Amino acid sequence: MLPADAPLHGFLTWVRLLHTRSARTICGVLSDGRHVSRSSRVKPAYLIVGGVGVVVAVVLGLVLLGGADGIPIIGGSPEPPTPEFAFEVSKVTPVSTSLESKHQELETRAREAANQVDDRMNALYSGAFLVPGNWLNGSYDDVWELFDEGASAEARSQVETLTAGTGAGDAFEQILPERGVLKAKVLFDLKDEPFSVVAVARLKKVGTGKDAQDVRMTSRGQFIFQKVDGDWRVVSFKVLRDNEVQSTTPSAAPSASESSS
Amino acid sequence: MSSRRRAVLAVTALAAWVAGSALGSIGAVGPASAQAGLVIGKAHAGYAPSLTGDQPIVLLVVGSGARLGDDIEHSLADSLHVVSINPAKHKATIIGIPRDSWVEIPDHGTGKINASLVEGGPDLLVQTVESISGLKIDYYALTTFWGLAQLYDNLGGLTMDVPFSMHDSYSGADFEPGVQTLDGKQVLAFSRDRHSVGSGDFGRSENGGRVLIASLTEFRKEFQADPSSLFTWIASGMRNVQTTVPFDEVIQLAYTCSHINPKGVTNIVLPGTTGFEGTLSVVHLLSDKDAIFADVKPDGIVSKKHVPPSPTQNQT
Repeated sequence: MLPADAPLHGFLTWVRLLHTRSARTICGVLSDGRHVSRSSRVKPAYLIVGGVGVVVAVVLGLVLLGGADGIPIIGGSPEPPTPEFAFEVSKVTPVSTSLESKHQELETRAREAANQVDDRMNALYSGAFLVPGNWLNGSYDDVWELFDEGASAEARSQVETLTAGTGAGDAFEQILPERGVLKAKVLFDLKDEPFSVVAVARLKKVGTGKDAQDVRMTSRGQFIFQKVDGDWRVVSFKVLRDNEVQSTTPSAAPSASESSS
Repeated sequence: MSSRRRAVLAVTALAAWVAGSALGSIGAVGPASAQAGLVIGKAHAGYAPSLTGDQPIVLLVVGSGARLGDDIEHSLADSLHVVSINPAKHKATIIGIPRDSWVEIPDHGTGKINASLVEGGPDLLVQTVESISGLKIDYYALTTFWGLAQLYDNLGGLTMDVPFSMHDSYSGADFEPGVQTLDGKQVLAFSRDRHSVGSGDFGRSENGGRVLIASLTEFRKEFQADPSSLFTWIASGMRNVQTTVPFDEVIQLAYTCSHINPKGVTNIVLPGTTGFEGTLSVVHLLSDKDAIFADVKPDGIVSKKHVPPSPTQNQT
């Protein structure tokens, strides 16, 4: 294992090398080929070059590794933080399959199951639309993990409808959520255990376009969850997406098109 | 300018150039008006799982003739349908078995097939159907008169295309032909009428198949519009139908049914002749049944050449 000061040690070594090589080369040129005593003529230049080298290294470090707030900034603008979002659960309906179920108990258990699925839906919609690291890169791997195996493969093939899209990073500066409402129906098995939950969600988001055009994205969907290996996962879904350009600059508006999905 | 000053300036300029180039990349995120990959307009996405495989799933759907208070598992079977589903091809065959069919009942001699439910409950009925068909029955589903009526009332009725005029005071059937929504009691009457239906019990059995197909049509329509309706159908079914299908497989079957186009379902009734065994009015099944079952066995689908004429084909 490296000592705690290993990066600093490496950095100083690098500065020292740069310092030495720069001094030799540049001072060699500036001395017009005349032989000079290093001990008496080059020492001040060492100091200057070394100082500037440190400045350059620090600036490069900041640029390449991260800004003052720790956000990597190489190759693009600082990644904005993920906006706060949670669905507002407006209704939970237990659906019993047994004739002997006690409605009061089912309501409590349905609420518990709905809350668990609500957490998954928050993760799903945040990952699909709001996490900048996802939409800036057009990659939504953490979203697909919320789907069952069969549904996951299908969801990936319908990425443009289920998420902000693979090109969202080229189109938007930011995406902010508006109100999200969720209703849940909880299907109980014959032993009154929650077996499946359908989450009916509606969420509007506004994407601020890089060309100053805002796009209002409305997503209305039903996601049917079942427990898979102890976790609620999406086994079936039906989603309607509607993207509307909000600004009125017709010349810059993207052409309307319909998804093939 | 001294060489020292020139050195300082040169290095500072170099540093400024390097830093400037690097800093210049901050905020440079591509063309300002890029819209690549963004879809404007409406788009749909959807997925429902389905069972797979060419091996058919075979269910025996039984309507018990039990009255309130009777043991529904040991009453005369009022209707019998073998439903064979091919999950991979999303097709199915419904085979109606006339309830008065005179058959061998395993370990119980010869008798009407509907008596096997009385004699040995659903297990014996399943054995009997297996022995006359050569099919392996995977599961059964058993309902009652009141269960059937309640089922469709819970679902808000059933849209049926009544194929011909039906007026029968015994069953309560009172329909003119055409598409109409039947409530639970009317669905029951439609299923039970054998007096105003051609070929009596044969036509009645065919109508039972029509109810199953109409149910599939309605389920698909509702599921496609609103997937949460799946829960309503399953809950109504489980509350009014007794079945050996495990709960999770009920869900899988329901999803699979959402993929089956009703036009891909063939509804037939085993052909036979009516006659007597002693004083009992019975149906003697024709040997054609063997070819039908042999045809259905491998993949659950009956070939056109083995589809018998509809018992109600000439009825208006």
